[in-house]
Amino acid sequence: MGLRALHFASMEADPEDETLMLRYCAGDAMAFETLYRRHRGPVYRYLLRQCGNAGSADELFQDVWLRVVNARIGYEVKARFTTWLYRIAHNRLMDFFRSNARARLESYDALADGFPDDEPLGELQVDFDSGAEPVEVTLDRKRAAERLVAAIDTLPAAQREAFLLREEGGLSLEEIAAATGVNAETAKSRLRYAVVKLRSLLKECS
Amino acid sequence: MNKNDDLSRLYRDAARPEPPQALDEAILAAARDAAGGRPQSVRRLANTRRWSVPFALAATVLLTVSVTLMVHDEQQAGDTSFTVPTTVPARPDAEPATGSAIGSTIGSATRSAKSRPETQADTQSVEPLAKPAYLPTPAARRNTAEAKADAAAMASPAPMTDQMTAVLPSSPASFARERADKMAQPAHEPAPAAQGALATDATAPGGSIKAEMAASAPAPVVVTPRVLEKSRAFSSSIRQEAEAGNSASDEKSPERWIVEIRALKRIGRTPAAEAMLIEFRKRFPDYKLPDDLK
Repeated sequence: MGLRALHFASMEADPEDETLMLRYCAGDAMAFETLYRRHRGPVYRYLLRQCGNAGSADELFQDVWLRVVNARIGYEVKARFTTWLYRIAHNRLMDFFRSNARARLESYDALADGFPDDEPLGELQVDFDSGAEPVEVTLDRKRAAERLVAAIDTLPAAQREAFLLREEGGLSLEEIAAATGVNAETAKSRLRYAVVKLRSLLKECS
Repeated sequence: MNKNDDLSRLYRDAARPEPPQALDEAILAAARDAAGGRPQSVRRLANTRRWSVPFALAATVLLTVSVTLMVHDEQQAGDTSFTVPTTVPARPDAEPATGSAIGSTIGSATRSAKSRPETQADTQSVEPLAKPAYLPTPAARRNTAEAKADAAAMASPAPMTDQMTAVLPSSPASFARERADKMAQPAHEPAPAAQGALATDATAPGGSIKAEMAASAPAPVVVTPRVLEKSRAFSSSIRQEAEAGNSASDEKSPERWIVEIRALKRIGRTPAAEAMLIEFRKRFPDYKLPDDLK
């Protein structure tokens, strides 16, 4: 059975993440395995697309999960497990940026200076809601997907993070805000800017 | 955000890289070890706790024994080797002391000062000169008793024969210096601990008598058993001369005879004084006796 199949099977039948984590805290190693299978892909991709290379992503990925393992003592359900997990990943990623990828960190910080997080989206929102032609209509779906991934890589780190947290982690705006340590308005602003930019880049490619 | 569904669908169609299998295995193994390792770590902690009390007891016993042995050794060293400041001040009100008595008292003062806080040492350091806190052994007490008797004979103003004058050094300091020179052998060198104690006392604030004595002393003299023996012999010779009175009195002048007779009377040795007076009359029948000796 493939991991993906195992993942979907566990998503349907298994208990919630928080319950699994609590069971793991009680010494149930199988609970952790289920939890891991459920989140390994999204977390890995989040890290890979944020740091840009597989080697660093592997290292970060392992580190994040070992932190989860070590956090079993004293774990309390204060938020959704996913939010907590991506919070760990975000923090580890910031450490990585500080020590290894200064440019990406600066890109992350520059976003806050260049784009007021709570600025009303106004015209952007209009454009976004203008009923633009779906990209898949104009592009070959597969090629469009590849271009989307390439476009994601060109986003500022904070916008890319917001987009990935929503797409990979399935986090809501509030959860994105909690995971990245910003307020909900900022998270919303980042996500919208990311979407607008991606659409724009895809249109240029088409 | 429903308007973004097209982007979401497109994103899901993109390649979805996954972590390597080896990474999965490593993480899962670590998680299993951690889950299974918990009781093990608790067990290890329990073992540590189980042995902590015996280890603590053993360490305490070891420490106590070593400290006891160290103190015992130090006491033994203090009993066999006392440092004596060579200039013992003549204290008419204090109990006269010979070398052994001085050694005992100073030794005890040094020891007690070492074992007491400095303030106590300052206030009590005067005491041992008059009344030693250190209780000497019976043999030492015997020596002290002898020494007291000897010293009593010596305490009179000038009952000294010429021979005595020749035997006695000009001052206690020179006596001590002579003794020190004679005893200056490697085996009789003062123990470092005793020297250190004396040096410490000399530099101690408060200006105790001990410190003053140590400061005024030219050099410390070690009172070893050999020194004590010689000191005892020296005292004995003085006593014998004082008692006999006539053994070395051929050359004495009548005035000196009278002084010695008076000294014997003063210390209560009346028979000896009378015997000496009879001898005096034999030798100097023409000499007119003073009224107090008639």
